[in-house]
Amino acid sequence: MMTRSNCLRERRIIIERLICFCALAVACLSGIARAEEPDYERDVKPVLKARCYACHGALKQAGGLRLDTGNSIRKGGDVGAVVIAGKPAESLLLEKISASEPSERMPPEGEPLSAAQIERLRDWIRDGAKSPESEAAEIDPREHWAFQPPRRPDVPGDRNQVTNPIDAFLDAERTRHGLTPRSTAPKHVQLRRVYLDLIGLPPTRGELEAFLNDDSPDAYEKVVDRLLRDERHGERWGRHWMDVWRYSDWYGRRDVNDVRNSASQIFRWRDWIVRSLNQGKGYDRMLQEMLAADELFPDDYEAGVATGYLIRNYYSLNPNDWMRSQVEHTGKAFLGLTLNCAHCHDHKYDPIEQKDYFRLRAFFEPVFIRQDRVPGEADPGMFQDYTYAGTRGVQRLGAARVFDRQLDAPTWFYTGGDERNRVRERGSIPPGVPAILLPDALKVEPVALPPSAWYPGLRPEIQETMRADARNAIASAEESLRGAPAAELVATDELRQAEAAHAQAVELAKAAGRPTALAGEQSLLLDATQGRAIVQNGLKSLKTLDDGLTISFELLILKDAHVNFQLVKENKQGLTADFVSWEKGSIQAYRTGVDSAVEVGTYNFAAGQNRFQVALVLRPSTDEALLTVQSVTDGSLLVDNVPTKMNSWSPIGNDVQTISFDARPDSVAVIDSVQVALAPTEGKPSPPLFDSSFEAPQYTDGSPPENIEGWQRSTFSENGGVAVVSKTAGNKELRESSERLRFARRKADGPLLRHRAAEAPLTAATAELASLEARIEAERAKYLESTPAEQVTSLTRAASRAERQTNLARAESNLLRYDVALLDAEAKPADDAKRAPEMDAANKGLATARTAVESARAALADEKLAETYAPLSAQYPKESTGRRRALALWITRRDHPLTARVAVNHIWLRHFRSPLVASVYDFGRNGARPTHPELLDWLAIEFMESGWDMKHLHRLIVTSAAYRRLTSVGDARQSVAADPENRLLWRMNSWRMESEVVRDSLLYVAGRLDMTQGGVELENKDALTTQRRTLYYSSFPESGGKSTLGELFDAPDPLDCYRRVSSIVPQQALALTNSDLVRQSSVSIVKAWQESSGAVADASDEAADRFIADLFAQVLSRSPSLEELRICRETLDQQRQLATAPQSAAAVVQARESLARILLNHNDFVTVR
Amino acid sequence: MNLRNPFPCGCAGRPVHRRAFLADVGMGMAGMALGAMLANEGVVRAGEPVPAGSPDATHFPPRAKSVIWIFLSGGYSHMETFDPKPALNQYAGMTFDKTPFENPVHSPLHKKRFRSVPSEDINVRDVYPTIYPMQIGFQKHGQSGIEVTDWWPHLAKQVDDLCFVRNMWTTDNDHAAENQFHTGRHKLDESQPSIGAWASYGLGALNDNLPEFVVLGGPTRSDTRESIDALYLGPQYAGIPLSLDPASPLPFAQRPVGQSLAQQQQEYETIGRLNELAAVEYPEDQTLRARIRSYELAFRMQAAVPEAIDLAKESEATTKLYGLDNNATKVAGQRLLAARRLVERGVRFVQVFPSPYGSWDSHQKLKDNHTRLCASVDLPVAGLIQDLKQRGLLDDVVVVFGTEFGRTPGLELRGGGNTGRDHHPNGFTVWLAGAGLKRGHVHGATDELGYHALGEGHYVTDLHATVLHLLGLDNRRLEIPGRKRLDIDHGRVIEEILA
Repeated sequence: MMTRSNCLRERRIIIERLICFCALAVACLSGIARAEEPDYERDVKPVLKARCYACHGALKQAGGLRLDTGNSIRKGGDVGAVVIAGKPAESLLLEKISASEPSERMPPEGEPLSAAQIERLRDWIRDGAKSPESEAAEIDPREHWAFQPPRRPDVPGDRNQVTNPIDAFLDAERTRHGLTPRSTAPKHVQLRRVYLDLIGLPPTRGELEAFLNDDSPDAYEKVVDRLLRDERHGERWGRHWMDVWRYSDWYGRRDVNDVRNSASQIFRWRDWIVRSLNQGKGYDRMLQEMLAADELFPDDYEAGVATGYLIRNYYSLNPNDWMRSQVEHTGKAFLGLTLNCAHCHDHKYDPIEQKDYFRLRAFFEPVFIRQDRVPGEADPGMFQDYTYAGTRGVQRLGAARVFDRQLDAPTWFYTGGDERNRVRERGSIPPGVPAILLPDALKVEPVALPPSAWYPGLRPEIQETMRADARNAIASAEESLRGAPAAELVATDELRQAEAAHAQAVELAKAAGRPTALAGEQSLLLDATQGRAIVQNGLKSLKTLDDGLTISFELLILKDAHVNFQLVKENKQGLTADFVSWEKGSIQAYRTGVDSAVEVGTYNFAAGQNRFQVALVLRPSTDEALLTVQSVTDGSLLVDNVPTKMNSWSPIGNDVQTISFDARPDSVAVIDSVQVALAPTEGKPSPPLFDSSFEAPQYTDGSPPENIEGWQRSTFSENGGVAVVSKTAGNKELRESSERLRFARRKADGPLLRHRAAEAPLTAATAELASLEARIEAERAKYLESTPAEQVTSLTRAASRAERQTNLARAESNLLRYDVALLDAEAKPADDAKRAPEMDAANKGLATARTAVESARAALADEKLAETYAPLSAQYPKESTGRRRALALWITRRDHPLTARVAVNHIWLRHFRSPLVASVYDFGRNGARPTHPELLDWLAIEFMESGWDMKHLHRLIVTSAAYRRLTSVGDARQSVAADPENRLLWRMNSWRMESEVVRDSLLYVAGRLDMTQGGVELENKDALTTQRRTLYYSSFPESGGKSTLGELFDAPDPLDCYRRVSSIVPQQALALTNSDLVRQSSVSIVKAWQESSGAVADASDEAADRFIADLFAQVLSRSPSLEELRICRETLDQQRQLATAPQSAAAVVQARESLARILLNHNDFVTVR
Repeated sequence: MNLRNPFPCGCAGRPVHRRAFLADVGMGMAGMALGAMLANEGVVRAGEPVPAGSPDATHFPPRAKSVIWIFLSGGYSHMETFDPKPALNQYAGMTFDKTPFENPVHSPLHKKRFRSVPSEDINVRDVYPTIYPMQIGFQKHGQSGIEVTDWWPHLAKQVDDLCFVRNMWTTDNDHAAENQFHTGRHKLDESQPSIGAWASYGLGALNDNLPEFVVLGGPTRSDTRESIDALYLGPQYAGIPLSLDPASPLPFAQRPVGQSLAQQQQEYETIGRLNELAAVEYPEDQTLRARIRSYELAFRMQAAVPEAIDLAKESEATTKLYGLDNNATKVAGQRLLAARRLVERGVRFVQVFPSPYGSWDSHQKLKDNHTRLCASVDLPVAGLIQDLKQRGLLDDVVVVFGTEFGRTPGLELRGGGNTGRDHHPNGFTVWLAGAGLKRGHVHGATDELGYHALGEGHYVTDLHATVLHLLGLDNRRLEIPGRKRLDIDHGRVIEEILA
C-alpha cells in the first residue's frame, strides 16, 4: 500500500470534463500578508468574493446565505448564524471551510482555502467579525450595465462646436482627468496609418506625394472614402472578422487528406466575408446569414455559404464537440458572454443557468451540412458523413451550407460537462435564451422552405448547368463519331478459310463418330487450361425446397485435375454448403458427421471412366443430401446414395445461395442436362422445375451462358478460364476450328461493330438531353407551377419513359464499348501477355453490360416504373425548425443589450488598438467595465441606426481627431504620469503590423503582391515563394497550420483569437534579414527604382541621396532626417567597399539592395505610428 | 569568431536576460507577469539562492536547472519494459475472471480512467480479457534490484540512477494522449500550453543566445504540435524544433546567398543605428527597445545555434557512448547527444522524440516492434545517463522518459490479430533521473495483471508538477490572469520520489 503524507487533501481531478476558465477563478490569494490586525476589506472580503460570492452573493443565495457584506455574513442563512463574533470555534462558516471531508467542505469546487486564509478568517471572527458600516451589497446581476439596452446619451459639449461626437466624448473624459491631448500627427503619418488600417497596405510613393500635395481641407476624408470603397478593404477587415469568427480552413489529418474538422469548401465563407464587407452589408444581416441564411434567406444561394460559420466548428468524430463550439463561440463572438461556463454548472458570475446552456445548444442540434452544386461546376454529390473506418477526402466542388437535418433531434441535459451523463428524465431541452436577455422576444416557428431550397435541382442555374453538361456530352460524342470507321461488312479471306475449315472438321468428326455434345446439340464447356472457370445458378425458378427434390446433371471430364459441384452457401465470400469433387480418380464430398471433404468413391480415368450421371437428392428436413454418381461409360455405380451435408442450403429468396460448377486450373469438363425435379410420384418422374440443356436458340454456340436461365460467371473465375456453350465441347479439333471461325467472324464484323459503338454514345447523349428536359419539365410542373394533375401525370410519364430510354441507350452503348474492347483484345497475338487479362476484363464487362441492357429493357416495359425517374438533385427536408432563424433575429434585435456593443468594441479595438471594454468576449459581471460607457452606447446606437453600417463606423472613427493624433509622448510628461496606459486616448496608440500585413507589405512595397481575390486556399508552405495576399493561405489549428512567417509574427490561433497578441522574438529579425522573400523584395525595389530613375550604376552622392529619399518614401512613407540620410550614405559606401568588386556596377546595386533590406528591417516599417 | 561589436551604440554590452519580449499586452494580461520581470531584468538562475519574496525569483530554491524530456510516441508496453508482471505468464491464455484476482474490467477505475474521443454512439474501444504473456524475460538489476526486461541490457546497468513511477494513468485511450501527456488535457477539452512552454515561461533562459525550449526529432505529425505549443503564453515560449543539420538548424538562420558575414554585420549595425535614432523620438516606446535587442540577439543566435548542435565537436568515445557508430542507434543517439550539448549551454527544456511518431504502437507484432525499438533507444539513453553523470550534469539536469499510455494486459483481437496489445490509459510507467530525485527507486505499482495504477496513481500533470517543482516553480502559481486553469492542470508533486 502506498502511504500518503497528505491524505487529507483529496484531489479533485476533474477528468472527462470540459473546462471553463471562469468557473474556478481564484483571485490572487497568495499575497495575503501576515499582518498584525485582520482587516475585513483586505483579508476577508477578497477571499469571500473570489470563492464564495458565486453561490452566496447577489447571483445566488444558496441556503439563504449571502456573504457579500459583513452584515449579511453576521445575519446568517436558513440554518441560522454562520459566524459568532468572537467565537471562531462555534462559527459554522469556519467549520465548513476547514472541513477535512471533501463532501462537507466549502467551497465545493477547486482547491480548499489555504491555511493562511482560514487563519485570517478565524482571526477576524475572533476579533469580532467587524466590517465597515457603509458597506454596500453586490448589485443585482440584472442591473449589470451590459444587460441594459443601450440608450443614446447626449453628446457632451457645445452642440455647435462638436464635429465628431467621438471626440466630444473622449474630450469630456480627458478634460475631467486633466489630460492634455497630443497634437495631430503629420500628414504622412496619418496617411500610412489609415492605409494600413483600412486596406492593410501602406500607400505607394505616388499616393503619398498626391496626398502631401493636396491642400484641400477634406484631403484626408477623400482618402478615407476612397479606401473604404477599395476592394482591398474587404480583405483587410475580413481578416479581422475571420479572427473573431474563428475562420479556419479544413483540418483533421491534412497530411493524409482526411477532413475531420470543418469542410473543405469553407473558403467560400471567407470569400463571402470579404465580399459582404466590400458590399457594405449590414452587420446584422451578416450575423443573420451566418447563423440562419438557410432559414431566413432560403432562396439566396450566395448567402448560404455564410453558414460556414457553423460548419467551421464541425467535428466529424464527435457531434457533441461540434455543439459545444457553437454555443461557446456564438456566445463569445456575438454576445460577449461566456456561455460555455454554464456547461457544467450555473454560471458563477452571470445570471445564466446550466439549463440555459442546453437551451442554447438546442438551436444548433438539428443542424447538418450539405454541399450544393455550384452553377458551372461539376456535381460534388452528397456531403460525406462520418464513418469509423473511412477517411473523408477533400472535396472542393460545391458550396457547403447547413440545413436542419433532423427536425426533432433531442437535446439532452447532461451533468459534469460529460455527455455520457445524460439526465434523460428531464426530456429533450427546447431552445431558449437566458431569462435576463429578452426571452419574450424569441419566437421559434417552423419555416416552410421554398422548393428550390430543399430541392436545389429546381434552381434554373443548376438546370442550365445540367443542360450544358448534356450538350457537351453530345458535342464530344459527335466529335468521336467523326473519327469512327465507316459501317461496312468486310468479307475476308480469313473468314472464308475458317468457314471452310470448320465445315470440314464437322464432317470429319461426324464420319469418325466422335462426340460433340453430351446431350442434344450443345453442352456447357468449362475449360480451365488458362485459369479457373466457375459458373453458378441461383435457381430462381424454385419456389419451395421439399424433401426429395433432386438436382441432377451429366458430367464429362476431358482433363482430370479437379472439377467440383457445390451447393454454395455464400457466393460473395465463397462459402460452401455441400460439395462433391472429381480429382484425379477420387470422388470426394462433405459426408455427414465429418468436418471436411472425404473420399466417397473412385473412378479410373485412364480406363475410360470419364463420363458421369450425378444426382443429389435433397432432404432439407434432415439437412442432408444423398449423392449418387454413376459412370456412364460402363454403367458402374461409383457412389450410391451417400448422405452428404446440406448445411441449411436454400437458394429460395436468397441471392447469395446458388449451385455451381467449378473447374480448377488444368482441368476441362463438359456439363449438360442440369435439372432440378421433385421426387417421382407414383413411379412417374415429375416434370423438372429447372432444366438447362444449353440448346439453341436460347444458347449460342461459342457464347458464354451468362444471364440465360440464371447462369452467371462467378467472380472467383480467373483470367483465361473459359465457360462457353459449345456444339463441339467434346471434340478438341472441332472446338479449335469453331473458335477460329468465331474470331474470324468477329474480325469481319469489326468495322460494323466499331461504327455502332461510336454511334451509340451519341444516341445515348441525345437521349440524355431529351430526358433531362423532360425531367425538368415534369419537376417544374410538380413543384413550381400550378399545373393540372393530369398534365403533371403525363409529363411525369414522359419523363420516366425518356429516362428509361436513356438508360437503355446508355446500357447498349456500354455493351458495345466492351464488345469493342473484346475485339481489340482478341486481335492481339495469342502469345501477347496482355491478351488474356484484357479479354477477361472485357468479358466481365460484357457480362455486366448484358445484365444492364436486360434490366434496362425490362424497366422500359415495366408499367410499375412508368412514373418514376431520378430527381434533379438531392432533396432535403421541406421544413426547417426555425430555431436558428429565431436565434439570429433575437441576436440582431435593436433592443438587444449586447450585440451592437460587442461589435462596436471589436471595431474600436482594431482602429485604436485598445478596446473600450478590455474583455472583448466577456461583457458579463466578471468582464472589464468600459473605459467610456457613454461613448460605447452612443456608438452602439449610431451603429444600429445607420443600418449596422460598418463603413459608417469606420469613417466616423478614422476621421476623429483622436484617431489622427501623434503616438509619441513628446513633452506630455504629466499625461504619462496620470494615464501611462493611455486608457483615455490622449494620444494615438501605435501598433506592430499583424503577420498578414507584414508579409503583404513586404511584397507590396516591392510591387510584387498578387492582388487576385478569393478562391480555394493556397498551401501556406508556399507563402514564402508565391505572392497572393496572406489571407488566402491555409490556416488551421494544427502543426503546419501557419506559415513560417505567420508562426513568427503571431498569426491568429484559429481556435481562439478574439484579440491578437504581438510578440517580439529574434527569429523575426532572422526572417526579415535572411529570408528569400525579403531578399527578393529588396532586389525588386532596387530594380524598379533604377529603371524609373535611369541611375543604374551611378555611384554619385546625388544618386545616393535620391535613392535614399525614394526608398524612405516607398518603404516608410516619409522622408529621411538629415542624420538618417548621413547613416544611409555611409551604409551605401560601406556595403560597396565590402562587395567583392567595390568599383563595379554590381557593387552599387548590391549596396542599394542592402539598404532596401535595412529599411524593411527598420522598426518603423513593421510599426504603424 | 572574432567580430567587431556590431552594436556601437553600446546597448549590446548590457546584460539581457530574456530573448523574447511581449510587445503588446495582447490578451490584456498575458504579458503582465513577463512585463514585470522584464522591467526588473531579473533572471532566475537555478541553483542559486534567491531572497524570499523577490518578485523575480523562482517560487522556492530550485533543485534542477534544466530538463531533458524524452518521449516515446505510440505507447510502449509498461509490462514489457519497466513494470514486469510474472502473473501474465502464469495466467497466460486465461480470461481475467479465471484468475484469482479481481476482474480489473469491473473496477470503477476502468471507466473512470478513460474517455473515447469518438462519441459514445460511434465507438468505444474494445476490452480484451484474454491474458497475453510477457513477450520477453526480465531480471533484477543493480544494487537496487529493480526489475527491467531483457530488452534494455544497457539501461539496466543504470537502474541505480533511475527513479521509476509505475502508477501513471491518463484519460485518452487514443493517440491524442500524446498531446495530453504534454498539455495535461484530453483532446476534447480546451488545449493548454505544454509543459516545456510553462518551464520556459516560468524560468527564462540561462543562455541569451539560444532558445529556451528546444525540440529535437519532432513533432513529426500535424496533430501533435500541441505537445510543444505555448498557446496563450505567447509564441516565444513554444518549443523551437531544431534540425540537427548545422547548416540550417532553424528557419531563416542562414545568411542570404552571396552575402558575407561582414556585409550582414554592417546591415545589422545600420538597423541598430537607425532604430536608435527612432528611439530618440519615442523614448517611452518599450517595444522599440525590445526590437533593438531582438536584433542583437538574432545576430548572436545565428552563430550560437549551429555551434550548439555541432556533434562533430564531440570525442569519439562520447559519440560511441551514444551509439552514433551504429545505424540502429544513430538517430536516437544524435538527438540525445544534442540534448546534452544544449542543456550544457543553458537551454532550459529539451524535448526529444527519439523514435518516429506512433512507432511504439504495437497492436500487432509487439515482440518484433519492441525488440527493434528498444534496441534503437536502449544504448543511447543509457549513454546519456552515463554521460550526464560523468560530467556532473546529473546534479543539474532532470531526465524524464515516458510515453502516452501503456498497453493492455489482454491480447488484442481486433482485425483478427493475436500478437499485440491495445492502448491502455489505466496504467503505465515512466522514469526520471537526475537532480533532486531519488536514485534506484521505484514508486507506485500497477495491480498484479498490470491493469490499473494502484492507489490514486498519477495523472500526467503530476509529472509536470514534479518537474516544475524541481525547477523551483509551483505549478499553481504559474497563472496567467484571465486564463484560469483547473486542478487537473496543476497536478500534484510526486513528493515520494524527491530526494
